[in-house]
Amino acid sequence: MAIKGKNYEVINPPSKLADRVSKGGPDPTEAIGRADHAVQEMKKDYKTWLREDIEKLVKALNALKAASDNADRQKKADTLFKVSFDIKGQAGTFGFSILSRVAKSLCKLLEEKPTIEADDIGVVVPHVDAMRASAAEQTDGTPSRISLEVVAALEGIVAKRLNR
Amino acid sequence: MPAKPDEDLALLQGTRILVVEDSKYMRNLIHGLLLSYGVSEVLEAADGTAALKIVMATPPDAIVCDLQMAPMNGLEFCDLLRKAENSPNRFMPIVMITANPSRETVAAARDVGVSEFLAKPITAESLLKRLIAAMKSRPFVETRKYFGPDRRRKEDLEFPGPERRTTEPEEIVAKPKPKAPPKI
Repeated sequence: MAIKGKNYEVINPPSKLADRVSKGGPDPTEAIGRADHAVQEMKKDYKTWLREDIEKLVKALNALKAASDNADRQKKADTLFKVSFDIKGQAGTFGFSILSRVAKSLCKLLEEKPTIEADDIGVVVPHVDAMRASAAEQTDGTPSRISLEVVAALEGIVAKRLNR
Repeated sequence: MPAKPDEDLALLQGTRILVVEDSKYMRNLIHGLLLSYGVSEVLEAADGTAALKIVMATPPDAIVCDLQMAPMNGLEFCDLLRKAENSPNRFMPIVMITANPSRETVAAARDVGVSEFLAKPITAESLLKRLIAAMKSRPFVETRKYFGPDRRRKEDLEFPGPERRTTEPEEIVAKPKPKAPPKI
């Protein structure tokens, strides 16, 4: 049934789904348990995928370093942003919280700084190094105090750079 | 700890769900999670354009869609699905996922009629909750500018704040109706 106003209409969508699905599904606790198990299984694969992403990241950084002018640098920075953005989302999902946070910090710099200039590379490099180290050590789970300090320092550098 | 008993999870049993994600890793992950919930069939697409072809050929019961994709991103995809005159299901439940849950992004997703929004990192439980919420029947609203789920989650009869509209929403009177809806 639809409720009509002068410039709007409220519609109750046809509920085909409710008619089709069986009543009384499986135990939700079991379903979540199965899903968590699936994530854990995929985590093994993710460590391999992550190596591929880090290779892409380093390649994108090298391209950024080799950029000839600001326009070219911006284009290369966009590629680096894309790789870093993917790592940010994926690493967090698979429990690599530090890696995800460093990627987030790099994304913030690349996204919020209007123009990526030559001297910004000095901020990009330690981010990529930290991500490489984090991936190489496969530091998932509870982060160490040192890694938390490193990521906080990187976030501080980005904040300063953006406020300059 | 999951919030609701079986009947919520029953919504997913025997369903077909489309995952639209440009990252193959995330597609694999979401695919695996959906099967664990009891979804029967999971379809995959790497961007909005590929997703539209699947939606036209094999309409799913719901869609889990990433926001940042090229050439057609999740917002454009959702907008088209809601507004196109030949859309196979304008009421399609859509869960939008993003690693950039800024205020602007959430507002943009809301304005194109996304059913539920989920920020990465995703967990088994967070995806399940959003998917169930999206698939539960909810009224839709159509105005000149908007077609999508009713943004009001519940009616608060004791709301003490000011009324933000009188008889008609102000925003929808301002712009003329577009000539024709888009086509997929």
